[in-house]
Amino acid sequence: VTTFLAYTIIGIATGCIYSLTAMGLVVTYTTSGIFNFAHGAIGMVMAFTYWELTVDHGWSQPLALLVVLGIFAPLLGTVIHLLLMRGLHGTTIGTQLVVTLGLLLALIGFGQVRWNPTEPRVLPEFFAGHNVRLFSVNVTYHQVTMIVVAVLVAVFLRLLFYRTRIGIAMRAVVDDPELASLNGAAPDRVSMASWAIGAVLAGAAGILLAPIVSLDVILLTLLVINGYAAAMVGRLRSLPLTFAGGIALGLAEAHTIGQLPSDWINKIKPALPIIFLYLVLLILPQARLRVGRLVTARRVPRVATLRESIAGAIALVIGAIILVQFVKGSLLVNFSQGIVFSLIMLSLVLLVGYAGQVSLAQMTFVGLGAFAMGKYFGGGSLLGILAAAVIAGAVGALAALPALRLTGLYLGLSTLAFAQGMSTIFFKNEHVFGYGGRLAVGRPSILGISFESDKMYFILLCAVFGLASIGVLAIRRGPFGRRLVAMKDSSAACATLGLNLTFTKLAVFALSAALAGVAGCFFGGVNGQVGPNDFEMLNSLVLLLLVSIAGINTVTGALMGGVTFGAFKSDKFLKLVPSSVRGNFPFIGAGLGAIGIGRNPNGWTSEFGWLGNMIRRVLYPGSSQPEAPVDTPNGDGSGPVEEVRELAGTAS
Amino acid sequence: VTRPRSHLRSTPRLARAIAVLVLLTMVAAACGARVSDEEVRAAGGVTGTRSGQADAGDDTATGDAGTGGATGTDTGEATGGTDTGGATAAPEGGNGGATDVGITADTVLLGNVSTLSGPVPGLFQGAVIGSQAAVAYQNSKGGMFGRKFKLEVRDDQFDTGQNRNQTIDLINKTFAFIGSFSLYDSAAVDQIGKSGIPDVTYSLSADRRGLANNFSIEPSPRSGAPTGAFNYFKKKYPDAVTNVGTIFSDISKGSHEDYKAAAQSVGWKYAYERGVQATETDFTADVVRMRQAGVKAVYLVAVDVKTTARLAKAMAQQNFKPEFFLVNGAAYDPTLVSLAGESVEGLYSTQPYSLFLGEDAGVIPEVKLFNEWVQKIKPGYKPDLFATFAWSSGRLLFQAMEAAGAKAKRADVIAALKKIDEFSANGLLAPAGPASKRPPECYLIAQLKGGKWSRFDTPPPGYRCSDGPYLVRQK
Repeated sequence: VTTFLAYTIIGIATGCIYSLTAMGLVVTYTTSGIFNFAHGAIGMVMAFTYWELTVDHGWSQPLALLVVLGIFAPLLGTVIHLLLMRGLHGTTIGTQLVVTLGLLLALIGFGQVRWNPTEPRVLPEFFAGHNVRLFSVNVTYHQVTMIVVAVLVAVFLRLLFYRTRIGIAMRAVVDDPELASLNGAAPDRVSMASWAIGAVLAGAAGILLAPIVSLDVILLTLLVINGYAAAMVGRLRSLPLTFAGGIALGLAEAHTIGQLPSDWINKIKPALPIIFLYLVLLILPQARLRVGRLVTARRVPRVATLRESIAGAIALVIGAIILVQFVKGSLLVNFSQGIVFSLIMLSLVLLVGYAGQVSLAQMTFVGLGAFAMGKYFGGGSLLGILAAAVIAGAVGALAALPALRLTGLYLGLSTLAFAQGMSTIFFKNEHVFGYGGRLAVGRPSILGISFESDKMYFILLCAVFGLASIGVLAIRRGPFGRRLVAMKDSSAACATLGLNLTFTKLAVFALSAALAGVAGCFFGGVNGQVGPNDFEMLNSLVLLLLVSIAGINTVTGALMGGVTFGAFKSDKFLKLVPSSVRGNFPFIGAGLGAIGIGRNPNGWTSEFGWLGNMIRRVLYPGSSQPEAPVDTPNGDGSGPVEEVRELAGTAS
Repeated sequence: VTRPRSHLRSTPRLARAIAVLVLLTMVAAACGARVSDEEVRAAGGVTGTRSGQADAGDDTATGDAGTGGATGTDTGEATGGTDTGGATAAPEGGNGGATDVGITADTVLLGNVSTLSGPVPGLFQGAVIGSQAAVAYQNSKGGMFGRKFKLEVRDDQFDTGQNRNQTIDLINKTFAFIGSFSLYDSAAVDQIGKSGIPDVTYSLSADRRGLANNFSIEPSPRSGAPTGAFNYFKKKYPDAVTNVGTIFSDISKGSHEDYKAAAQSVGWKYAYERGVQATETDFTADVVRMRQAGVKAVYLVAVDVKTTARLAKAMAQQNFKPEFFLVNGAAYDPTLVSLAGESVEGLYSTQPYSLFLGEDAGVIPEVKLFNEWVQKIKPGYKPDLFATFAWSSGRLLFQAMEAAGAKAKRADVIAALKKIDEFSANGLLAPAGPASKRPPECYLIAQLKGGKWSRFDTPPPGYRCSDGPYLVRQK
């Protein structure tokens, strides 16, 4: 019994860490409607700032706490609201996720530049050296402080949101800012206060966590992921349930270590937060169908015709043939990497851009494709490409099962849990990538033509991207594509018209995963080999971020997103960046790029629509096709639901 | 329903401009936080650049010449590593000019591909600094056969494709590789093998280590571990080694399994073992479980220094004091005491290299020389294992190049490397066989006392060499 109680005490102490981070997430979500992926990063910056004041500059703890939590954190929250979040109300969940992801990357980049990760830093515990003994376990005063703070925060926030006018106003503003303002609330100021409170909570969690887990930019930023499960227990609304969720997760972890045999601990413990999150998502009530909503969209991009898409693909291949005459060496390989990532991003255009289904697990399918090709076909096989598509597609359909019940943020988190679970259970398994964790993936020979050289491989990649683009655009123009866009526009309307949403969701997830799997074969080919780190969940987030910045609704966006990625890796490009930030430029660059997404969800490539029109006018002077008007997605006065009504035979 | 842009509350342009300015200002404010390439150049007169060509030819500082090997001891012979001070001038009749790729009458261009940016910026910067130090020292003696050495450093950005890219590029530009460190160093293994470039690199991948033209200063087979330290601690703590507890990084499970097999082969028994992830919050439960399982010794092999420090603090917090707490190698790090404080007092480290942070400087001249030249390259930098291995790799290559002669081609240097099968970088490392890929069986034991490392039961300047063989694990 004493042992059981000992692990229970440890579990509660660990659980409070999860609770603190999760409650911060819930507060921000409840009061702004935005799930802040950057919550941990804000806490990280505050923890380092606190360290700088106390350890580096010798300030007293109370003064430093007052300055960090009383001035810096609310100020940062306010700045984030003013500059990033204020314009996000009513935007799609994908846009909101991407902006907070951008903020996360920018803060990581800033943290690594400001506080060199190779230098050791230690943040002393509060009341260091003092313990209290409970059931044969020494609990430090610092841990006791964390438990007390977590409980106080839970009680305080509960009272704030349900017993005070400002708290009720905060919740009301999320539901409908205009209605709230009619009732006397000032939505902008209330939201600003919400972000300030969220940043203070993040800072408090960071300062309390850093002495225990060490001052590490990446570690402190990513620790919050374990809190997602706790936040989900409270369905991102209930603080008491969130607190309980955190404690439950901590207890589960402690008792897993305490009660199970070593073999089982090693199998279960790493995946526990993810299993926990997945279970919670599965038992959540089915999402209600959305009737429709206000979304920020400047213009639904015009869809290229078959003739145009074929011409574009041919132009791409011809351009590639010309390019390889002038470019060689590492720059050419950077171009190849860019095109491979364009191909992966194309799978996101289909899934996220057309169908509105959020996926944070795309690199997982890329990994499955690379694994299938490398493990069973060595790389040089068309059969391998087929196998990659089939395996990734099948797993994609399985991963989509929660998508049948979930939407928006919950769906995004379920894919995140899937990605993390696959990373832990599958990719890091020594039987998958072998000892040392690397698997060679070769380059194919097709119809007797070898694509082993970098030049030929680049041309092949452009051809594959061109073909895939033709296919994706054909899907978009066809009945299935119209269903996808209609489902994105209003799932309720689609269901009312008799469309099978279950099949549509499953099919688009499988198709997208299959395309990502195919891309995985070429991803392996361009790098020569793959390993578990290539398919980490964080890479999927960066991928989504880059394609969103370029334009997730269009093939052009995917192409340019990949090219941007390739440029980030190029020495020739990086030489233009100051050496002090060169190593972190991908983080900082992507983060800064995300700032603009809230204003233009169609990405920066949409700003060059005039260029496409001009090219079309030159190529087809006789056929002038009007540009889509602002309010009608298809440019002909009809929306996707009208299209589907035609398909369903119910057009009036 | 789609709402057009004009209906939305717009974020003022000024606000957006401020956002960009704030972030740029934050970045600019941090510029001084890291030493730039220019500062390194100014400090040492020698450097490689992140992605450009090194300028290593101007330094004229004189370093202490090596002494040709530390003297042997009753417990181990530190041998190999002759100093190359005698072949600096071009021979009569010239040095042959451009005998091969990356070599001219005046210069020899060497390459290094390491991870310098990515999720952990500066991860392997020690590998670059160590290589630069070796090159600078050799140049300070006049270079070799009338040629000065230059080092071109490339950053693989913690990315397989970039490593492949940079490595292939350097194969076609440089004469040899020295001191590279990357988790992705097998990305261009085929190209390295086919090129015949002398690859004097401690590779983290078994595939690259297995190449005929790869020469490691501390070779290791595809799978295996030395048994000497396990035998030593078995004799010293016969009861404790039958109840061992450990944690290991889940991404280093293979390494854990190798060492576990070696330990078990001499009678160690594990009572508790767990793979841990980078995002673990607390190790208190592990400590309680170890105590519950009757663990009497804690042994770590496949964890980093931060995890070691966190476990040590959790053990101290729970007042858990095993008979011994032993870490293989990773604990001998300049950051350990800063991170863990008094909780690591009494900790043992077993390692196949000297106390290179400076404790052995009085007994092994190479340690002193190494530290001096590292300080010339980057003042204030505390060298790590990667710097030590990179410096040693440079020393091995220079020894082989001198033996190969002034007009040597890549193949000649490889032939010379194949004759060096006893190498210890003048005692900086435990002796090993680069030519036959023979791993080191010798090691030393160090212990932390009063926050400082000192040798334990290993008389300086040698190593313990008779405690047990290297066990190759069959899988």
